[in-house]
Amino acid sequence: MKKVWLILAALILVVGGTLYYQYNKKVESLSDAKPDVEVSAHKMLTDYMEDEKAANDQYLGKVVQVNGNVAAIVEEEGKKKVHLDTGNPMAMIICEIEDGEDIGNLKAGDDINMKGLCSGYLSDVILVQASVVK
Amino acid sequence: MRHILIVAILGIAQLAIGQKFFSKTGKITFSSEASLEKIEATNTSASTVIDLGTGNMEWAVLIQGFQFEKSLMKEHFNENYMESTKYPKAVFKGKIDNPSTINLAKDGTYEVTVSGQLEIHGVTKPVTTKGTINVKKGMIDSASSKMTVAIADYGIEIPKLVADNIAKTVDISIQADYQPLSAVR
Repeated sequence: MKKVWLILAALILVVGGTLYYQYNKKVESLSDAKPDVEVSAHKMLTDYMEDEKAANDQYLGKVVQVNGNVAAIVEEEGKKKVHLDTGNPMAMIICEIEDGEDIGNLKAGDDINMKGLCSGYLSDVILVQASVVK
Repeated sequence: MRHILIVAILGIAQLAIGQKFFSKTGKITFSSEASLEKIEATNTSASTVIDLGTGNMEWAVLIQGFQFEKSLMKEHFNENYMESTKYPKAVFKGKIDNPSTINLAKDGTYEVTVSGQLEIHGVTKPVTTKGTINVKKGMIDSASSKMTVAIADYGIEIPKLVADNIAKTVDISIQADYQPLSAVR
């Protein structure tokens, strides 16, 4: 009889522990995530400008690897954002750098691959949890 | 005669500086404090435009751009509550009451009331909120506001199982530093 109680207690601990862990789990870093799709900064913007809905079907919520030239690197309240040139001076691919990610010596003019979660299109395409592809 | 000339020059100068201001780094934070826990998330890439000529103020924010601490909370927010694949944005289109009270020639903090339509989760509702607009050096420098929203108003359903974790109302803080939008685009 005692054995049954012991097994039950162990089960409850395992299940309880797992639930607690899941509940408190932090948002996972995307720095090692494999991209779902690869595209150039120019094409990504063009896709969005031509047909936002179709572009969202393709990119929204996905890990996208974008290739382009760094137009600017902006920092505000400790958050860095890398702007990729799209050929359109009014609209960029904005990559919000993930907390804790290092962009190294990245500077304007560099040709780079950035990776992040596509959150959609306002006047620019915005990737969040972004990092430089190693 | 000289007075008229000065006023004319100032008037033209004002037109040249313009009446439109924008930001692509608007910060929106929402928090919901319920009996069991506090949920908070922030987005730092909201897009906003103020047109003092018409009094129009617009905000747009991407739902999947909100940063959460906990993974499960972010997942529930996007997949179950906001259905952000279906409704990727929240948009506010409104008008500042009495925009002429904002004098760009006079630096200072202006208390304003803004009324308009707020669209969240595909549902649009009229809202009115108070805020402040800061004028510095002849331009709108920044603006901010706080408002409370009832999530049920926007068709957001919280399953009974987690109802105690999620408050019925959400407090939203909005802030942006503005730049002038040049007339030539």
